[in-house]
Amino acid sequence: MIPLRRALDRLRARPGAQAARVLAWGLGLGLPAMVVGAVAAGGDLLRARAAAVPMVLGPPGDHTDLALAALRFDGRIHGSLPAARATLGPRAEALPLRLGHRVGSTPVVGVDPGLLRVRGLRVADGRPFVALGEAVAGARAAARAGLRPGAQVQPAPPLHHDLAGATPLVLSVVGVLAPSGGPEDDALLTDLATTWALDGHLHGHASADGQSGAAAAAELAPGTFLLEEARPEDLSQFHAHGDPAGLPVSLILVHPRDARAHDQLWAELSLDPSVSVVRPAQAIEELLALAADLRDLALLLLLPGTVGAVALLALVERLAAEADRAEDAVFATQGLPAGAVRAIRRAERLLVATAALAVAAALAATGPLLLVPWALHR
Amino acid sequence: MTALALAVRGLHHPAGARPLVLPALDLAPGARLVVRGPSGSGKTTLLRLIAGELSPAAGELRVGGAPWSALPADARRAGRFGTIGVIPQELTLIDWLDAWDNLCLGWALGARPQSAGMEARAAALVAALGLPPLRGRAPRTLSMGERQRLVVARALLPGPGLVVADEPTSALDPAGADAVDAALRASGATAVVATHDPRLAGDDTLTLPVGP
Amino acid sequence: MRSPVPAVARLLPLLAACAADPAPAPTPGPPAAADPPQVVALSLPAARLVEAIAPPGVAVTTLAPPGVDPPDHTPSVAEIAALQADADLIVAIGPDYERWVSTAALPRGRTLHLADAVTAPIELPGLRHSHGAGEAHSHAGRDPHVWSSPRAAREMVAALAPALAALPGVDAAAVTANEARFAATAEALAAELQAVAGPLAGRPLASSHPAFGYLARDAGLTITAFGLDPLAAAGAEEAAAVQRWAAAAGPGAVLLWEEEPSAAARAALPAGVSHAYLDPLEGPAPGGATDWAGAFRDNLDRLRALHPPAAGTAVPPG
Repeated sequence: MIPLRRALDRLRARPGAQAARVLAWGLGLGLPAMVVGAVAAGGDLLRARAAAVPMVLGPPGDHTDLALAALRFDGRIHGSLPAARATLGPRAEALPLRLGHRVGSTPVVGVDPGLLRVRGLRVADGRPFVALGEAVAGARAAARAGLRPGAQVQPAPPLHHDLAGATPLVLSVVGVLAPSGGPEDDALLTDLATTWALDGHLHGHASADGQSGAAAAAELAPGTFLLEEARPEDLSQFHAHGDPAGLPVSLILVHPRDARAHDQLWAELSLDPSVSVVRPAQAIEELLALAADLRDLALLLLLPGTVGAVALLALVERLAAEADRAEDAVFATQGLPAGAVRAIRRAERLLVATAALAVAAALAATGPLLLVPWALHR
Repeated sequence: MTALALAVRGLHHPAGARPLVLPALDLAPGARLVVRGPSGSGKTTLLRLIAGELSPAAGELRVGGAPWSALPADARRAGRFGTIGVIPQELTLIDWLDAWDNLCLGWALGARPQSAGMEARAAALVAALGLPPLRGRAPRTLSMGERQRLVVARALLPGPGLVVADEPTSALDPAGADAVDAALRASGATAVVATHDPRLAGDDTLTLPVGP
Repeated sequence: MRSPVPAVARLLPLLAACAADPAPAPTPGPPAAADPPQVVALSLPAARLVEAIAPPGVAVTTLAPPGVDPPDHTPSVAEIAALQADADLIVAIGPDYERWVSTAALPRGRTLHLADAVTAPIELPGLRHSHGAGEAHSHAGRDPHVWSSPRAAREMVAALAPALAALPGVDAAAVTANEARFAATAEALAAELQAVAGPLAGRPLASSHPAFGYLARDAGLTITAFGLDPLAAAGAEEAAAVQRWAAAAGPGAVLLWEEEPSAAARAALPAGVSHAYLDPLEGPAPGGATDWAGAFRDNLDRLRALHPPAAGTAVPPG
């Protein structure tokens, strides 16, 4: 016990210097482990997300953007498809999505309600959305914003502007989903019609005296105004001007019924110049392979930095050793056994190594969590 | 016949500008030898040779009648504690031990088991040397004089038969110097003291360098 | 070749974000094939068309409760949630009939609007009327009563058959055979309608409910639609409209009621107008056939009863 007790005394006597040693070693080991571990774990989970989506249909454009948009509900793909393209017949279940709206940093995604059944999404609190103006929050989105059934949110004005005028609709959160591991965790899901209302393709009217419901006119007239909240009694007033089949969707998740239907659809859609079709699993594998090559290149380029970090570590240890030299002279002069001193130094190194490994392990384990807020709020 | 506490024969060792040369030296038990000489004359080297920290290039030292310089360095280090008390010129204390554990250094690091007798001797030395309470006191809070008296007490606590002291009163006022002098005499140890302090009188004086 | 660096730069934080996920993504897929497929028809007219070709083993349920006018019916939140979660196929006439579907969140891939399959739908000018108990409403938009036409019914069943046949566990060959049988029946009924309608050509016909537009078009008849409550006397405006029509129509005018009119309803209308019952095929007719073809045949009998009597036959009072 004496070596351990005296080793602790040594650590307590020089807290700054010892902390520097622990941090130097901990960061030196932990940072690479954090990055490599996060990328590896992220790659595995990205593969799992991609495996859950057999095919994605989107407007002509970059295949990687399309795959990432489907896996992340990223609203930055350009263009759209008409809703009618989500009719692929009995060979597949086609689930259109409308992206591009946000509440703060949380994407508001217009989905087909069939998405919940296909992806096995479960409502943990409240109920699913059943009408225009209702939304369910993903588990992480709800935790971040403190959303529960009964809450109301108002999406920001859309990035793309509609000539008819976007409706600043207030949405009612009616449920919170259980964690799924998919992009739904970080989103607000609502019916496609709601996002079309947010776009301005759908709207409802009321008279200037606040009367709405069956008495409302179908066309704008003096004294009528656009409804900003889809109350149950107002739902019947929401309508589109034009063919609903032409309303825009950002992309379509395609779930073929069987392998034969998958091959047929892939062949047909690949030849259709009016769409882009991608198999997310394939796109992600290509991207991860490229990322691995870039990672190796980055590690090579970081080698001088690594050498510098090692040199810094060596300097830290040397400074610690020099502080010990004066003590060693005293121990030798006083005739104290070298073994006793070595035991104390060994115990100290063990404690420093343990603390450094704990720091490294904490970085490796929590690194991905530290990167999440930045990654999700871009 | 009682063995000499210290016997030196044909000592020759490099030291500073000129080598340390000591043809012969005998010290009886309990005697005090005062070593004087200008800086660089080899005083500290002689003390380190006697303490066994250095191996002489030539010659022999015997402590208590037994071969000393002929022993391996590790054996001399191991044999030093409790046999030869060393009061170095550097007042280095261990900063991660409190002042009391610095005093009881060998026991604090497990070289010897703690005992009530050791604690009583330590307390007596603290009182004799006029030291303040040392338990829980950080070494850096001691004055230079207190540090020097602590170093003296540390060397005397194991009860060595031979003490080598290098300027043991350099940082002390007259009262402190008298206390160190008294403690050295009270220990009964044979002492080899390198000093410029005239208050530290010895039974014999060795002036370095020796010879032409 | 585009630089992959921007794509990878977007990927790296995504990888880190994904690494924080608590669980892998769920395995997708429809319910187990061992469960019998659940088909929910949102109204009785839709249910009859489904039942006409659904083979045994397919569970068909009707959402709108009997006695409730589907345009006035709005299902509960729990019912809509159950549709989302449990129904393998949702069959509606369309948002012009089951009006709540236009703002309800139904799974589009599993929802079929049969009226979309009808070529040349009839556009309505927006006649407001009531079916009795319940709110007055307007059918502005397309005439939703498509099931009253054998040709339209055939088109709707033709669109329904592939969706039914694609359900897991359904005997697709049986669906195909049933659809062919229905098409032949509808063809025969269309021919019979032409024969029955022939003697009625030129006879002034009107209806208390705009439910017979497609029937009239298929039959080559003109049926003027009013909005009359069969259980109550017509208001002054409606009565005046009927009066004007009857005066212009001349003798032999027949008002077709979707429900047996009360004495008060008949009394409020001009005396020279005859009253007859014609089933709008929206709900179970008292004592009538329950399937679409049988109900349609019953209507053909009712139209046949409007034929001018043969020479020497007494005319029953209207």
